[in-house]
Amino acid sequence: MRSVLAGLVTAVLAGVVLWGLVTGEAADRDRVEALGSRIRCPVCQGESIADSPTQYARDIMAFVEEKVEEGWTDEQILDYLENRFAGIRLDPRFSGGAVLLWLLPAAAAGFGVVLAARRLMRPRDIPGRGKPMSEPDE
Amino acid sequence: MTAIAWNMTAWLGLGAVLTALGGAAALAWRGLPALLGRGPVGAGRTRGPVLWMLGGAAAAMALLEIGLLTNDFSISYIADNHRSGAPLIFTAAAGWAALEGSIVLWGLVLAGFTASAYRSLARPGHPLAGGTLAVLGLLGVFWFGLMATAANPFAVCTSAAEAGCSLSSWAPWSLADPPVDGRGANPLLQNHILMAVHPPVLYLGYVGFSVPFAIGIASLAAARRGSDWLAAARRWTLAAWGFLTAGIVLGAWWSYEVLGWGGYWAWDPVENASFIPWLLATAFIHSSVVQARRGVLSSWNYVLVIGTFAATILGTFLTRSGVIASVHSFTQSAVGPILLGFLAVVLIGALALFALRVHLIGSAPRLDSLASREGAFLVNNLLLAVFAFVVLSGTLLPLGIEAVSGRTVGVGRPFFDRWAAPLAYCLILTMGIGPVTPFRVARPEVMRRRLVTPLRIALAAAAVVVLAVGRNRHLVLVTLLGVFAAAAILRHLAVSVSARRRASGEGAGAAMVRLVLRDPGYWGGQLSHMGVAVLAAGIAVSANLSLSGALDLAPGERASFAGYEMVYEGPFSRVEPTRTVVGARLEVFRGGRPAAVLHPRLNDYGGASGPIVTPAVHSTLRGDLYVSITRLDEEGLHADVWSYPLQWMVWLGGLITASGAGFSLLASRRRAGRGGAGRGGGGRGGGVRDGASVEPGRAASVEPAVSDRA
Repeated sequence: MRSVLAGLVTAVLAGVVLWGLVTGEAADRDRVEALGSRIRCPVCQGESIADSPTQYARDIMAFVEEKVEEGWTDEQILDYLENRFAGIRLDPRFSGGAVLLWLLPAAAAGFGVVLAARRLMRPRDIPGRGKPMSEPDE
Repeated sequence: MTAIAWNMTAWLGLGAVLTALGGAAALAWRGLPALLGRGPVGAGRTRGPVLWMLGGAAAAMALLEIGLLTNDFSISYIADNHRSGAPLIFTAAAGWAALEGSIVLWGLVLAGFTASAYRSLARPGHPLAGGTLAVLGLLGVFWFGLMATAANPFAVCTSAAEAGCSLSSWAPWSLADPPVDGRGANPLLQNHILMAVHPPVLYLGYVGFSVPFAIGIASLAAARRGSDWLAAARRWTLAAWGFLTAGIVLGAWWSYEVLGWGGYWAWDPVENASFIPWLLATAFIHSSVVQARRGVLSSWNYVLVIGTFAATILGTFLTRSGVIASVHSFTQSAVGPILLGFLAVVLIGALALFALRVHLIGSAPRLDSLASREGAFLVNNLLLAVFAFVVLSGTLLPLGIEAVSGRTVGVGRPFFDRWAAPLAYCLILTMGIGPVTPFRVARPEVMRRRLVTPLRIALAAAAVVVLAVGRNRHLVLVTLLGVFAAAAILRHLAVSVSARRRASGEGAGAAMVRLVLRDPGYWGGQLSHMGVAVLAAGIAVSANLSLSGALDLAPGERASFAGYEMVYEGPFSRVEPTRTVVGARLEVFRGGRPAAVLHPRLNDYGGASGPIVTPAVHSTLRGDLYVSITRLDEEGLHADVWSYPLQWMVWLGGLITASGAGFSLLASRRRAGRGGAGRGGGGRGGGVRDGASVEPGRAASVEPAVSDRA
């Protein structure tokens, strides 16, 4: 009886959490602010226009705000700016050399998984097969 | 008549640097037989060189500080980075605020660690002591050699500029032409007291990784069988890792308090440069346990130790060469190519040595099952390595692409966040499951018993967040995973304590203290894990529940923001010895009651860079109110405001994480001291034992096997 109740409570809690996760948004951020954080401030050093206090960054933020109000999509705004200032996006598009940025870590992860899997699959060690430099402590 | 000028600081300084260089060279020479595998080197042969190296390095740092305190502008470093009348703390901090001085500090820390390695390895007669000291001596030759040549902190100013120095000479006998006053340090570096603390702590971390690297190289070079390098390397990595963690947290705090952009971490290349060695060292701290306990991952551990050290050199190169445009790249000089060359030598040399020896490192037994502690460690290492790789490629690839194609590729926060969030979630999950998983094979019913209650608690907490705060995906996920990890650890502690009480009849407090002290490596690790859970929650709250806005107020006007009422009372200004401060007086109310008076400022140090925006932060348990001026004129105040709920969790979590390492080291040292065992050779400081679990009925299968303490 007690375990049934505990299971029920757990299930309800899990349901609430799942509902929160599935229907939830990332952060309820302002679209202009979110876009600004994806655009590099061209005159700063490694800051986004949303973070930078410089006038130049503020001007671009104002431009972004204007275009958002005019109904441009995020991609339209980013493309427009990218054409004017190369490399202005902080999350580079999936093209050209930037592809490497996405592929390399993925490849590294895959390589690691294969390596780890081979470790798990390897036949049990054969007695007398070379003396290990590191002796297991057990 | 050409007189030989008596520039005392320059003469003595160069003498100190050369003394340290000589000591380092002698140390390398005397340790060489051990490094080449021709037998151990007695502690007596290395003692003198270690002392010379330490004495020279300490004298160099002291002379630079004395020069700064006495306004000796005949030294061009001092002329360029100091100004008379600067506050004492920033005068002292100028000793490491720029390139040459930072290398002096680096040298001092390296010499200190070398002396410490001598004490804990050579004196007790650790078999790898000679080789380790030889490698540290070689590293010393590089750094002190750099000080004597390309980055001489004691160069004489031979032609004064209006402020600072326009020409300088390496030779201490040059005729000095000191400027009337110095140029002063970079304004950003003298704007907050944390700048005096953050670099030394960070350096203790960075330079500390030289020691495990040296131990690893000594072990490979001598082709010694056995894993006796591991315990010592782990202990040193743990110490350096603790400092690096604290240094990174202090740096983030500094960025938050000084830079005025309203954040603390920007995935800036220089931040990344400190994060990559942190990730790799974290991986090593975990994987070394697996090798000590189960004999697997032995070659991987060498790779991690070499990689961590190389990452610190890479980080120094990125910071100090100015190759990456970054808010932190304060200095640019010819040192860049030299550091790059050093990095290449280290990487090629160490990896070639590794390749020559890898056949000796032996094939360890395979894992019994992925569902085991070592399996969890494997997953943890995979995640950390991929994380490090992501940060590395995001930092370096833009440079490569630009070099090859000339096209600028911006890589910033969105890219890193996209990778970091899922990797961090997986890591926190592993953090909850791994530490309570038995070695070898974890039976499902054991895991169920250990994880069901934590899971229920986590679900309850996450459900509360969903209902009370909202359906914010990141917040719910962080709560679920963080509370799960914390609850799993605390449950394990509670169960272990009560098992111990049943067995020994001790009181709850005494049982807990004894239990924790019996295995400080494990429980220190769990303390760090709790810190990471708090840190993750703090980051998620601050990122997802923060509010931002803009103030536009004439004197006397009032605005409300995020539950605060703010009244702009008016501007103020004052002239200080090294700067002019202009700011706004802002009275803050909360719930109708006065809460604080904030003074966001613009500090003008008179340089070309213009005034430095200095934010004002009102911190409470509830969270921070952060105000940063954008414009201040007769008409009024224009400022950005942010509200960061629970921001203290980020700092507290970070410091708890760092303190876990401190606890492990101090408590295991105490154990070793009481047990009468030498701290060197067999001393398994830092707790490679890890995780003597006292789950009732399961104790036998996980009883620690490492008992070669004495």
